[in-house]
Amino acid sequence: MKKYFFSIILVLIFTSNDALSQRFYYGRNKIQYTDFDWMVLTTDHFNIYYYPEMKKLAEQGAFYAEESYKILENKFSHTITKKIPLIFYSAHLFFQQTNTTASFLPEGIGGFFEFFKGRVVIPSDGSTFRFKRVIHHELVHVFMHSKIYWVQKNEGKTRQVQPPLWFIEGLAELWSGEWDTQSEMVLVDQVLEGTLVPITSFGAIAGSYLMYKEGENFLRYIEKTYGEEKILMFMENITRGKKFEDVFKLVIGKGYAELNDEWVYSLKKQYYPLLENNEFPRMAAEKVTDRGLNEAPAYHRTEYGDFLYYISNTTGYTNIVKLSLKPGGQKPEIVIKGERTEQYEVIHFLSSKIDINEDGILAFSTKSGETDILYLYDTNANKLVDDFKFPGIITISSPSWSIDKSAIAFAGLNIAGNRDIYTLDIESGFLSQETDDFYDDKNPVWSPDGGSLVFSSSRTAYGEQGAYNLFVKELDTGEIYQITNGLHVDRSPVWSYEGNYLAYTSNRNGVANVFMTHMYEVLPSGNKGRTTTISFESGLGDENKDIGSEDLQNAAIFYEPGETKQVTNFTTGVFDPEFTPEGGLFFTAFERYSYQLRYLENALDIFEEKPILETDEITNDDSDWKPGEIDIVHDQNAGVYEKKYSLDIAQGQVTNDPLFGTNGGARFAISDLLGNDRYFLLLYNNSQTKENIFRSFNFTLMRSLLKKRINYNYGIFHFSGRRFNEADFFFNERYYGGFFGMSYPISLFERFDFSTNFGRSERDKLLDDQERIALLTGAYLSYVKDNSMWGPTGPLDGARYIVTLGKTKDISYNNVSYNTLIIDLRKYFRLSNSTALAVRLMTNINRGREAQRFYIGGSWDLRGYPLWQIWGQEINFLSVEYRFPFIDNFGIRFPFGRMGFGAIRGALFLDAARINDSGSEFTRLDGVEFPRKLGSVGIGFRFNLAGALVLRLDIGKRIQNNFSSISGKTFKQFFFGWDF
Amino acid sequence: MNKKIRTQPNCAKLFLFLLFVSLAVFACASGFRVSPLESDIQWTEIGGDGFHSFAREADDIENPELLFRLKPLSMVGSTIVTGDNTVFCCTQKGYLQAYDLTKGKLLGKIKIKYKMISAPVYDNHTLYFAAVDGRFTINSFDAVRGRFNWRKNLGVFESALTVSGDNLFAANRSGLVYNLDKESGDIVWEYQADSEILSGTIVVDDLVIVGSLKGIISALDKSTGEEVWQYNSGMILRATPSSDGSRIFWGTLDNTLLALDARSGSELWRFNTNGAIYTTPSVTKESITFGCNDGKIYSIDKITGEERWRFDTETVVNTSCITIGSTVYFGALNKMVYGLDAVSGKKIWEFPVEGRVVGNPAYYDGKLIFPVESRFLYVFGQNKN
Repeated sequence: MKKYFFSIILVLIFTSNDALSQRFYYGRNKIQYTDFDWMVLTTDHFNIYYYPEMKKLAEQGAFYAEESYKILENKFSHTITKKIPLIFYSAHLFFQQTNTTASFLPEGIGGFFEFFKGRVVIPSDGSTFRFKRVIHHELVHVFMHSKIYWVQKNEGKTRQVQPPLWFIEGLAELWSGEWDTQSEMVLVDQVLEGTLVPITSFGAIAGSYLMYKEGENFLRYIEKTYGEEKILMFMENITRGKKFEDVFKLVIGKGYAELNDEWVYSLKKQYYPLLENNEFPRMAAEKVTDRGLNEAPAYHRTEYGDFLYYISNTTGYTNIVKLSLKPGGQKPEIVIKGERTEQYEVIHFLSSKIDINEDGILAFSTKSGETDILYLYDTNANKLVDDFKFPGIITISSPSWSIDKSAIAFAGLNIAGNRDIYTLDIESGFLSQETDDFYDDKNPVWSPDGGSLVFSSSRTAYGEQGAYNLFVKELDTGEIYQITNGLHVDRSPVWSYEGNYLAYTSNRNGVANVFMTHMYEVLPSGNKGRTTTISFESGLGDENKDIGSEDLQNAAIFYEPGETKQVTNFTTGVFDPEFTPEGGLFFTAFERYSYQLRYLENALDIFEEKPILETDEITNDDSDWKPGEIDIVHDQNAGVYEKKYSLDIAQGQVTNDPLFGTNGGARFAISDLLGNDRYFLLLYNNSQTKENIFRSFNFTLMRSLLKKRINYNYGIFHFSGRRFNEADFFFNERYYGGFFGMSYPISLFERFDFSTNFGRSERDKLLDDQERIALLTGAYLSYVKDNSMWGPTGPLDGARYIVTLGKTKDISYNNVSYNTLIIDLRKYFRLSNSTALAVRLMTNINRGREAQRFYIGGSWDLRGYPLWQIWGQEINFLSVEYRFPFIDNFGIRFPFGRMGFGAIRGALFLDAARINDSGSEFTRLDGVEFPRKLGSVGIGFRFNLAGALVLRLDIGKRIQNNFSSISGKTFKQFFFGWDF
Repeated sequence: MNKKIRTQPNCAKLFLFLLFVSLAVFACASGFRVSPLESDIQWTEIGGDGFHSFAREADDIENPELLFRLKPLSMVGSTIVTGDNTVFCCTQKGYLQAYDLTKGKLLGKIKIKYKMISAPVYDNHTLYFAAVDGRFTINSFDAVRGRFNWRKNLGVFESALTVSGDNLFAANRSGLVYNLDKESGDIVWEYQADSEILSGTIVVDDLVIVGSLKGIISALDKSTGEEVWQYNSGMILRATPSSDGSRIFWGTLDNTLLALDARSGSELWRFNTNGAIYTTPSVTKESITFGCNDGKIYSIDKITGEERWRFDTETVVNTSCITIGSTVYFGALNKMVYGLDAVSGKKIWEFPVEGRVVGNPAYYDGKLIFPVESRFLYVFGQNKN
């Protein structure tokens, strides 16, 4: 993305004297905050790249990788003869910095296999189980890719049918682990809501989590019904069909439609009976939200009423919002705007709770630069009151206030890849690490007496199999004991206001539902006393607080779990329960493929009515599972990473132009395994005669260094050929030299770019004998900002700015000397979810001797005029566009099938430009006078074709005569390209 | 007086004649012919004999050396067979090729155009082979005269062919088992199994035994095709079985090797491994030896089913072993071929090859042949010089 564009635009700008390349590129910045000292660990089948701080995690990963290799070698009946490169990161925030791919890696990406260089890149998130599973998942991709390639190559059919994405990802999920309750939740929701996408339409959900899960489930069905061996046979017979469905017909004897019918029927039989004893969340609980994605509720009572704070994404940006719980359909109000500035760069969705204390201080964490920062925000004063960043802690999740508001507990992931519980004393800023081991600990919550923390952890005996149970840590003694136990996931504990009950979510009976356990405090005397009454009714004064005798205050209270009951019976999953003082429960529910907030008013009453479940058998034994470790002598098998380059691109091309003749060329790119060091070579020849063949070789050789925060590019070039501009008409030019550029990203959204070049330009005009020689140098400095949020055809929110200052000068003969100013400001005012007013202000000025022209015209800027046919040394441009949805989707049904299309969007636009120029012979001959004022007004339609290309049709009228009249003729302009 | 007018030579006719001659020459030039040798081997098929035994009581090859590498046009897709000093291989790209084993030279090839993965049979100088598609999926080729005897389309064949007496037995992807007259290709009888058949048939006495992918093993009367017994293994059968004349040994994809009584179909024992078994066991007087996807070579007492030894290759072995004298030879996916002492299982020989060993080996007159994925046939033997 941005990296490549930056490099290419540099090449174009500074190697083309005509500066046609002044089409600027925005884009966010992939920042390498951290300078990793890469090492390589070599095992039997892998080269594992890691950094020293995560050595232990790398060895664990190596063990799991070798274990997976053995399993997959058997399953695929195939082996991989070269060592597989595995690149590990100890945290997702580090993973996001990788240069192995130019793409941005949002939090939902758990790892990837890049098949060009055969690299597998995987982050850890603190969970050993998930790390192991992702390694296995990605290795399934590696094996599948190798197996299919091997089958095709041996039959000489490498260009034959490829498996579709749903099969690729579905198989990776199928063969990397068991069907889990999260997957179950998604399928149950789809089947019961009637929205299950049939296999014949999997293309419509390509790349989505739903595709992963439906694909996996479909293949599980095939495996169970037709035999596991069939899965391998799809790959072994892949050359025997023109499309993948043919392979299905060959192996199973049935096509997609028939198999889909069977599969859907089996799912209905399986899931419809659930409705007998289970409910949809929205039917059994009160709706709090119903649009967008909403989760992680935090309840706050004030003298002005009750409020709910939660994380929400209804507009494309993730924010923290506040909702008044007064009856009457209140609208949520944004409290923290996420994803627009570095401060709140990413608000973690579905991976971190928020909390608010009774004074209204909201605690939350966001990614800000290299790591997460813990913020405290005063919701009464509407301002930030404090922020905390901790050295060595990369991510912070689920902050939880202590009852006395003096401390916050949270789960922190450190640089070694371990997630532990920490407590922060607010006043002193002192941080204590409460757990310190390889177990994954999260969702801490303070006990009613403030002396303990309850948290979810994999330190249970079942942790190696992915289970999480609840534990209590006594802060004074450091003792940790278990309060739930079993091969299931218990998480997000929360205490009731009276302190009697602990609510949490658990998938012990299927998908995640709310469970509650009556908690008893065991006093130091060993007597199980009545539970301490703690009232948390904020604003009612301290007189209602009764925290017991002084002895009780000072003693370590042991919490013994009593009766446990399942409070909710929902068909799909629920998360993050949050009590109200009256015993009601807010929670996040998954339904209709979204996350919404629901409320159960009488949760405690429901608890009383429910049957008691069998108590978990708590042994309190130390869990004896440990992550596997590779059996090697580390120092003998590890070494410092050394760059080895391999090919990224090799492409040849021949073009023919009626004016400029035939050109042929090639481009190559190589890079090292980590993608930090890249070379590009562009080579082509445009000679018209054989005498000129050597002079007409054009090339650019460039190196890009991307390892550190500041990225560098430098290179050399030689360009020679026939050119045209309005001043000199046709001329031959030979231009050769070198260039250098750097890019400093300030944040994800802003950066400075600097570039300079020097070269000798020999220009030979064809119409006269004049030769112009110049020794040119140029320097350009740009500020770029981009926090735009995109819709289907272009940005709908945020802004994009570029400001560039530059100077180009002939230092030898003074034939060329001009200054450059480019300002391109684009702001998008969101009017509703799908409509926006987009405004663009652009000023491009080149002033001086032999100042180059800018070009405007066409569908991308001044509509209604031919593409790039309006030129001048100074262009001022304004465009105002109202963007709206036109058709959401439509389809055409043919006798042989149905074709579906995505959205068509509309735009009402007004474009206006003022162009000035010192003039040239050409313009004088042409009769063009400067300054010129041109404009257009009209309506446009945009259609996104498969997410890769936007087709544009603009219809309108020109504004002419210096904006004094509108042309009688209507223009129609059809082209492609995203909205500005 | 009428003069006879001399006409110009008819160029079109001349052209056609030359074309005909060229085609005739070309037609004769394709295919191949072998020189029949006096041999005590009546026929060869997968495993070298009618029981698919992958074993020879021959002299040990001391310190086998690479004699030559043969280079078929594409990767060998099926088991190779040898006979009359010739090795025959069917390739993934649809060629049937024959190589002279003395000189290591290509004798000729026949282009079928369709993938061949079914192991052929060489019987009495006639080659029987099958393809997965095309106009003729089962063929009889006279290797001495260099021409086809008969050709038929009987469906998709992926499993090994077998010959017994005057009959050729073949099972296709649709689960149809055919008894064909060797000479004419006429169908003597056909039998429909419960599901597709990917494993080869085997003939023991008067029984033709087939196994379907879903695990049903059926024994059919050789003459009539009537079912004599049936055994439901409950396991996936892809490997071709072998026999010692009274027992059948069958590897399954469910990590188990089965031993059945050939006459009654009763299970004698089963041996569990940790990987899928795609290979045909090598059968000797005392033991059976086979490779497995768990990377091990197992030697099992064929009477009791007790393990005698195992050897760990640390990679996948999905091709059969072959026992020559007192040595077990096999190739693995780690680009190595090995020789193990048949009694102790100790490694006594190994040789690196250029690709994964993906085809079953064959033996002929002191020569050991391995097909390797990089399209080579490695021929090992004792260098007499």
